[in-house]
Amino acid sequence: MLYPALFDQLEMARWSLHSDIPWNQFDGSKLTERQLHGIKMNAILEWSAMPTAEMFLRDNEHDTDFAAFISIWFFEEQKHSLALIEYLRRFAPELMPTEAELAAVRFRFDAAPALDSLALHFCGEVRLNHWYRCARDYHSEPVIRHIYATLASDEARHARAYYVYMERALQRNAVEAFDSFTKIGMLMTNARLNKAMHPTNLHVNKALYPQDTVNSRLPDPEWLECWLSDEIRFDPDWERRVEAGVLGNLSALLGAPLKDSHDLRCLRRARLTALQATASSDALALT
Amino acid sequence: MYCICSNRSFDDILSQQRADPLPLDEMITSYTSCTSGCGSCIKALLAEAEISGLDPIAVSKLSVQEA
Repeated sequence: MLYPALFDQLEMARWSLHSDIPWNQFDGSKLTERQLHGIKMNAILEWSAMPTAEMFLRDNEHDTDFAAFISIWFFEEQKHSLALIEYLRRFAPELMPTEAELAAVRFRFDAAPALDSLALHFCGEVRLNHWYRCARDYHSEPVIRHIYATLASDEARHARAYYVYMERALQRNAVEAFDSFTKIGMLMTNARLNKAMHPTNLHVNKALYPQDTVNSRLPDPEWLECWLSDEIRFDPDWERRVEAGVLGNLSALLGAPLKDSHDLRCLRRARLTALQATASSDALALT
Repeated sequence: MYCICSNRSFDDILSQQRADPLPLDEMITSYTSCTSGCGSCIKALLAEAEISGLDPIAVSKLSVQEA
């Protein structure tokens, strides 16, 4: 079981919404209306951990260890939303999200292969860590800078936790895990395939299409792209760091050097057939 | 592994430690961003550095014993 050790690690890193955020350092002169709008949108995006946690629990009924970890992940993501809402409550209460705006991002996700979702969220946490680090650099108001830095570190710890579940999946079911991780790794590191490569941009409920991405259900569905391109300026250098973070960890996980998405595609093509052949011959030997 | 807070692979960090050895706690503060980042790589990095014999303090103790 990985859950007890992860619980301890995350417990030791836990921060207090009340005593670890320097609320008294707020400087309203260093904040714009547009920046406050971004804080509101991020608060709502973080709230979408709720349907994601529901998806994880439903699709991992067979995996009690991972489901237990999701209890911590869900708590921490909801706390991120609450920290941003608390910021608005104190300094711009007119912009606090309404309960209806929060409820709008809670909708049923279609069932998905558990390992695809695991890899997708590993990549998503790496990306979110970099978005928040970039957002911290963009802001000059000290309290929100501190909040974004704190959230970024939480997201990095979540990525590490997902990584150890990916290691375990490869040990338990090498073929399925390799297939899943390389496929999602390619999707999440190739900007031509998927522009703002994050789970909140993926279509997750056929019956609700096209209102079936988290971003499409925000009060301002165009916001994320503007925020990334025109506000925090998540430029190719930041994008390169995300790609290095995803591929560097996949490289360690899969035991092969991966400098770009093309390398991952080549590795997938070369190794998947061999893994499948080995699995088939093992199955034959057992019959 | 790859430390996303430092934007560096463990191999890269340990190569720098190999080239310019520091006490392990200083290796973490000087060659990584772990202390200002999430900190979840620290334990694994220290373990890898010790296994690879990259702890200059341990190495100097060993030299004294050998002498």
